[in-house]
Amino acid sequence: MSSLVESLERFRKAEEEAKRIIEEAKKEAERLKLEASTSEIDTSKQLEDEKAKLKQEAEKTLETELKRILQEEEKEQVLKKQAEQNMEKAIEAILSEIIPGGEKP
Amino acid sequence: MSLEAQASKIIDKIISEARRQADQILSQARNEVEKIKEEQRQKALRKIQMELEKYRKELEETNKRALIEARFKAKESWLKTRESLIDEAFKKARERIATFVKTPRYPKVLEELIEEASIAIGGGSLIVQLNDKDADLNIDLAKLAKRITRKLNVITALTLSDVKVKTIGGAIVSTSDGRIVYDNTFEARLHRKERDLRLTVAKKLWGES
Repeated sequence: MSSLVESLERFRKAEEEAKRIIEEAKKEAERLKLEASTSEIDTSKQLEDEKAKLKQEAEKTLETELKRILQEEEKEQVLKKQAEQNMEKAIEAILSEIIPGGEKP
Repeated sequence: MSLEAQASKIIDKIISEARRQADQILSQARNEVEKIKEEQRQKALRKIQMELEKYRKELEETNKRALIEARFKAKESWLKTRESLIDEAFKKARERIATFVKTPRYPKVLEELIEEASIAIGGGSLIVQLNDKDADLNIDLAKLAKRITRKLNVITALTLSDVKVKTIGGAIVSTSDGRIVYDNTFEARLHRKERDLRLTVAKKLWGES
């Protein structure tokens, strides 16, 4: 009789332990989910790196384009030289229109 | 089997079942956590992409503005140079005209300028204004008037005005009542033709079409 009572007591304790194990697991599961849902991925470093890369690319593109414009300015010097070489023809064209018969007929 | 042994077996079963359930709960939770983390990773990725796209557009806009400004400055600079070179051609042409009026050919040209103006007016009684120096060239206005009369078949008389004009050369011819005036000085001729001549000069300087 005493053995039966002891056994029942052990069952009761085992049931309690099982309940506690499951409750703790549930609590841990909730804690894990809460922790995951409230945490945020820090993107600032990656973002800064990518931005720096983009900036570098943009600066390179700008530099190339500006170089091209500068080359056009060099063309301007060529045109200036060309104009200086053709200046006499231009003057003669004006004179032929303004002086009847031209400057040197 | 004793009662105690049987009880122990049942208790072990209860505990191991509880542990199995606990493992299942935790495993399920970990799966959910993974899912949440993946969503967060995707969200972070989208955020980065959006920020980068915005930043890329800003950079593009900055570059675009810088290039527009640089191109504008280059264009402006070239236009200034172009105009100044055309102006230079006109300036030199004026200097050459100033030299030309001192040559022996000039009196003949002056006659032509007076004739051209007189014909343009249509002949008649006309007044001729010259500069101080040209007035002393003693252009035969009577002979010129006869030539114009013949050409127009309109009796024409040319009278040298006492009023002198300030000009490099050429003449201002007007009807005696002053209603019609034809300015055929070199300055006026340049002014009248300058617009067309600027294009001609550009063509000569750079072969522009």
